Amino acid sequence: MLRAFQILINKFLTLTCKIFGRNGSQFPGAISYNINQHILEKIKYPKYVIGVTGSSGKGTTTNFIYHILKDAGVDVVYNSSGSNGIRGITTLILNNCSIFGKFKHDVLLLELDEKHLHLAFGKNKMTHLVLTNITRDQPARNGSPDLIYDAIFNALDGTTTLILNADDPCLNKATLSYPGKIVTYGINKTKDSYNKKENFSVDNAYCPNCHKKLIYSYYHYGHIGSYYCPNCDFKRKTPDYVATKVNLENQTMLINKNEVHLNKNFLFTAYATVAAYALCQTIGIKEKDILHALNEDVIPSKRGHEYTIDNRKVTMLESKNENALSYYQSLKYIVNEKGKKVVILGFDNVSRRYKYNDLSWLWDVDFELLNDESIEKIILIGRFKWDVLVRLKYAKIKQNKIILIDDMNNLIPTVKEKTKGEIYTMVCFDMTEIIQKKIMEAEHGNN
Amino acid sequence: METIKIAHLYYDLMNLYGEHGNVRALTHHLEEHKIRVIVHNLSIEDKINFDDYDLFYIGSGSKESFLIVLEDIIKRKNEIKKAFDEGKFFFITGNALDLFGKSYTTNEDMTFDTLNLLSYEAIETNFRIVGEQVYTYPKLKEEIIGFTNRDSLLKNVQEKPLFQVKEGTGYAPNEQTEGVYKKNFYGTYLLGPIFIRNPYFTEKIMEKILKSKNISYTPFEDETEIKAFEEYRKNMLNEKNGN
Repeated sequence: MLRAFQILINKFLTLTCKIFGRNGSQFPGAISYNINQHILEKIKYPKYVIGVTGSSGKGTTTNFIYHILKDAGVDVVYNSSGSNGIRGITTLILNNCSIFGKFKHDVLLLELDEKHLHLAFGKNKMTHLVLTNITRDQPARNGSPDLIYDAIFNALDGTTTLILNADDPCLNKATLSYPGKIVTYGINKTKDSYNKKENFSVDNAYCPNCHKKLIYSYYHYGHIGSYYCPNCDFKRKTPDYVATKVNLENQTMLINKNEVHLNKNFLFTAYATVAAYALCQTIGIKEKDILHALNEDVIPSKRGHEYTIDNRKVTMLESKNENALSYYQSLKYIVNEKGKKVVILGFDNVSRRYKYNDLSWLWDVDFELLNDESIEKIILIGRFKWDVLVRLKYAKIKQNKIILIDDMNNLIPTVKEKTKGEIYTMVCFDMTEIIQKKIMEAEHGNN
Repeated sequence: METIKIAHLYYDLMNLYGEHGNVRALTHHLEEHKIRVIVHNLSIEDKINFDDYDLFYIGSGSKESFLIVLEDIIKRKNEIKKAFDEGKFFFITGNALDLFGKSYTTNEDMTFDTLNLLSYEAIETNFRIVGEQVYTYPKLKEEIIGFTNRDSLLKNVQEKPLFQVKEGTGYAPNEQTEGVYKKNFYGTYLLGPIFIRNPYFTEKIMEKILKSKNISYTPFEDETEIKAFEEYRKNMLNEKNGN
């Protein structure tokens, strides 16, 4: 009875939010969850309940899986708004149930916050869980990577099939102890792979089995790559689904020998694609349907509005604070692009989730990559621009390349008057919105 | 030209919060004082001759890394004790501090022997201590800023504290002091590159290092670091006052 009542309340609140033009992806679920924290246990789930989690790339991977399933004609719903915490998930699930608590679609697909897994699936377990990577990420909330691992695996009992990134030793650790089925995926050496002796930003440099230092034959980034333990048999084995011949320039790669199109030229995209491929084939989607979804009905690349300043293209790269790998991806992307560039960098707050402004992660980010002659100017914005400037000084970036902006109203005029070439922003969500607004005002007089 | 040799110990395991920034800051400041700096990044199983170095640094790590390091460092106990007694410099930040007391006790009630260089016991907590910190350091008018994010505390500390707590948490909840100071051992739970963020404090440290080498000290001010320090403090105060 309570269940039917909660489902109705949830639907009613969602509708109310819609009528008043509010984002109703979290609020109804928050109310439902507060009334009864066990509501999600009382749902009759479909045959496939698929979760996607990890420190980064989970949103993109979820979108790719959704695209393939939808293209193959599967009846699937997912949290498209990216509300991946317990409130958003509760809203989505209850809204897609009959009042008798039966989930109305064939597949439930969820991007999941690592720390909320046990709240959503404490008792009922997912059938499949895709794991992207575990890295340093929002430490004020998550603690260290081994705590993120524990949070995920404490919510699992072996009944869930894992689809995991074998290039990440922190995830591959699960192959030592997880009692359930594991499918692996990964990417072989690419032309951007590297090897360096002293790698500071590694989260899992040591064998989880015998604590000897892992030996890497190459890194893709951070601690992701191909490794083995010199002492025991822990290593990256050839993944079940392996991407080879990754060519970011042409946006192609092979997965188990089939040519696959990449919808963007990021290595992250290659990971999301091979992860989605592995999951879909594991749940029985035919290879030809997956290839059709990836190569014919290609995944639309979410470019959104194209911005320009004085007809100079602006590329906005979302960079997550406190996540060095997210910044690394942006830096690598900018450096690899052709032409002269100006980079805009900075933030007003480290996080949206908490008020702490710990800046130590700035020293984990490879800002040394900005020492590239194609980058002519770097513009620093936001409240912590001086801390970023110190970091850039230590990266030995020439001071005459750097411009500090005190007043955001001066940003666009400065870009126009003092810089040339294409414009790249490397900031987090909040700053992206502010910059978009400034461009609109400057270019279209849209106040 | 005088040379200082720095050993960055467990640089790969105890570097959870960009702590190699501390070694870079020490190097930068020492070089500004016309000292040649040699840094060796060392880790478990490496052969380390403690006599070769003037200064040792260790930063923070995850619990897993911490336990791997403990297993290794305990084998070097006598050499570390000798280096400490000889007055070599130890800069120990974050949970590396837990390595230097008598023992470390986990939540599962397992107790490990630690280096026994200092008097305290380290206890793992079942809660995390997280937040921005403002401390004071004797004879320094500027404050110390930093961050803590940990799940351990100290008990029965006999040594002198390094800092007085102005805002935040001491070496244990409700304690008004933080860090440990003895001979040339400087330990604090503050994480990340504290020597970058606290240029005034770093210069106080420079004074001591130079004195130990019988070199006269002339102040050096890194303007960018000082500006970043001042701006950060201003931001914090603005937030506190609700602006």
